Amino acid sequence: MSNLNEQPIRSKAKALLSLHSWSGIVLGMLLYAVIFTGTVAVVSDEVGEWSNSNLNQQMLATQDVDNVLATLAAQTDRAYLEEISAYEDHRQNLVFFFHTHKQNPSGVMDEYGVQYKVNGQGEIVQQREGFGSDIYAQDDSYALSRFLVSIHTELHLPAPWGLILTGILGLAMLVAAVSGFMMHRHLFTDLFTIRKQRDGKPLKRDSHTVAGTWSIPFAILLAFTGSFFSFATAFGLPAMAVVAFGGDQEAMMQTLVGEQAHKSEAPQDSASINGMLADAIGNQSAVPTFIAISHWGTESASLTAFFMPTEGEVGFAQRVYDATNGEFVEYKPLVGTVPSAGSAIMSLIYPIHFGTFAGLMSKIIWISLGVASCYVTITGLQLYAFRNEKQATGWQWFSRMCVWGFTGLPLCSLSSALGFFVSGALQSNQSLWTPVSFLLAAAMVSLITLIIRSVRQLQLILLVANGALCLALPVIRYLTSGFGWIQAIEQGNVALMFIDAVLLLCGVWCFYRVYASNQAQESDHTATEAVASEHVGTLSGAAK
Amino acid sequence: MNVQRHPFAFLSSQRFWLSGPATLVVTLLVMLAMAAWFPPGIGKVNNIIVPLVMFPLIWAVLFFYTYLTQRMQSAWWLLVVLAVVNGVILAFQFWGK
Amino acid sequence: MNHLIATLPFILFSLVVILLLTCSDPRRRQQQQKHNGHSKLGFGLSSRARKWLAWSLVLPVLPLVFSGNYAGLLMYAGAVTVIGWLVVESPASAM
Repeated sequence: MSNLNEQPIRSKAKALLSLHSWSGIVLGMLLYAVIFTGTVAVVSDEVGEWSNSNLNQQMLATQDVDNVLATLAAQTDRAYLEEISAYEDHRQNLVFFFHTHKQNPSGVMDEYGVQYKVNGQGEIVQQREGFGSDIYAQDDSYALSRFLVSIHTELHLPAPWGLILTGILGLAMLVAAVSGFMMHRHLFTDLFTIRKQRDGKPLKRDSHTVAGTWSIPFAILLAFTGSFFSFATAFGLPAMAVVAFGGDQEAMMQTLVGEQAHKSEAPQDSASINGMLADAIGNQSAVPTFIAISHWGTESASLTAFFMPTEGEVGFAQRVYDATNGEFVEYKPLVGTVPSAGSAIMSLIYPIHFGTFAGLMSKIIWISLGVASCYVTITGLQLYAFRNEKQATGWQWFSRMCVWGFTGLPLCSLSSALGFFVSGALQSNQSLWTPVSFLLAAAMVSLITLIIRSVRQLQLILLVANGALCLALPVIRYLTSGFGWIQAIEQGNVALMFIDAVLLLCGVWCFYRVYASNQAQESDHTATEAVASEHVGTLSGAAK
Repeated sequence: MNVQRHPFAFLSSQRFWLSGPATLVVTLLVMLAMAAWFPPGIGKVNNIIVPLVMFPLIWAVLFFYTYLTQRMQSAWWLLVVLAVVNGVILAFQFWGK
Repeated sequence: MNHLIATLPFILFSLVVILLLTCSDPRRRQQQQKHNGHSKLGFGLSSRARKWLAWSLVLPVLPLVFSGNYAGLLMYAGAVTVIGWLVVESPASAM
């Protein structure tokens, strides 16, 4: 009878274990790529400023936006005056994008129009016409941060397949985390101990469970929100448009953005943008990251200013102004025109996934969560490699692949930064050379992985290369920009110092790991020699 | 004990079809139909946002249920009922008016 | 900036509680005893006291919610996760 009762429980535990292992093993390496670049993506804004050695000048507060806008509007096709967005880029220019909305060649609703970059003196330094997504993809100032973020969101695969894959990876992470949680029967007991192996090294299985257990809640949250972003963009939104709006994507976007479908285009002078900006800045005690002016110069003109979350809040703030008279109208919900459950959910999902709701402090915590998740993935796959190597000899390729992926990806990412700086110094196309450097590094790493026999040596070489690049990048950044730490301290450029410091720290850590590994190897040797000589001693004693 | 199994042996497993393709298709159907039956609220956005957010959650719940249940028959029935109900709602949405 | 500073004491509180929980963990002490012959930093606490301590990690949620510091709440939850992992992991590799 007891046998009958126990049978289902035992098979359930077994089923969960095999689910946990397979979801990790099959997609583990890709999952690591997404988690690692996701960790970098938390500070993508800082990486952008750092890669351009720039400090945000808050130009929306200091420049005469009215004047620039009037000049630009006079030379722009009237069709593109439907909406004008403006923000400051990473090279001290104000970017104005005069655009309308239409489907791009891949069938997705996009912005189309003319983009102007205007410097601090009010001169146009760049002018481009096309789809918003294309213009952004060619913008050199975002080359590095854009490249790294795009690995995270779509692994650089063509739309919608990249998004679908990252969505599936999100589900795999969800499955791994939930099954890990469900098969854990002594949650509280196992939470505080990492047992030792005979040689004093921490037991791999315990390192995996401890890191995994602590980070379960956030692993589930991040996986769930991530797969939502991927699937919603890849096919969810168009599918919703088909069911709820008879296939009219534009109508759905208007409902979501909260805009009336037909607005009066009767001409009417708009109020001063500078005035509305000053009011918004005064009220929020911050400069907007982005403004959007709709139907400028008509009687339905409006201005929306986007702000990062203010004190204690987690959601973005959007202040809407009636641009015909400059009056503040409302705080607009993230989605739709009136507060709703859907909008509340969305304004929670963003900060939970991005961790960008409270400046550098929340970002540091979210980076640490990313590192913990990377660690869980790494130790999980290593555990699998380790167990199989013990059982069968033909499994060394798996450990080799682990080293290739886990140490290779950071190296390739660092190389893409190197490519960004060098191509910038040589005045060549940074949007091209950033990904090319990544690919070159990936080819080199793969070649080395195939050539070097000992997996341990391979690991050490890649660690040294990582460490060297981490230490070199701040120097190269300084040499190519001439912007040093003294200036950064004088200006209060925290983002730049933060990324530099993190790189230096990682560099030191890499070399420490190499040192520690060599020490361990030596003590292993000594121990083996001691055992061997003892053995010889016993043998010779026995012979006597 | 260690029997070498064919690499595609999982294709003949009922559990694979139940927790894999069947669960995915039913989840998609539920998400699509939800856009029709979920109350849109005053903002008229809830019926778009909530199904999208619920998609990974519904999938995870159905997946773990179908994967772990001892009674596969009832799991099949649940999926069939969900598929039929939501399929009818969708059909009504497109052709019923 | 204020809400960030207001969150720090709670994060420090969680650090202290997690340190106490880790040092008083019976399995950890048993392990240390096995390896070093004595437990270095460990001290005993009844399992009931440990349960209370663990539940006290939820306490900061109340002041954070009442003061409307939702950003602080999210950061606190993230910080507990990270601190827990780092505290348990780091001495294990250093010892």
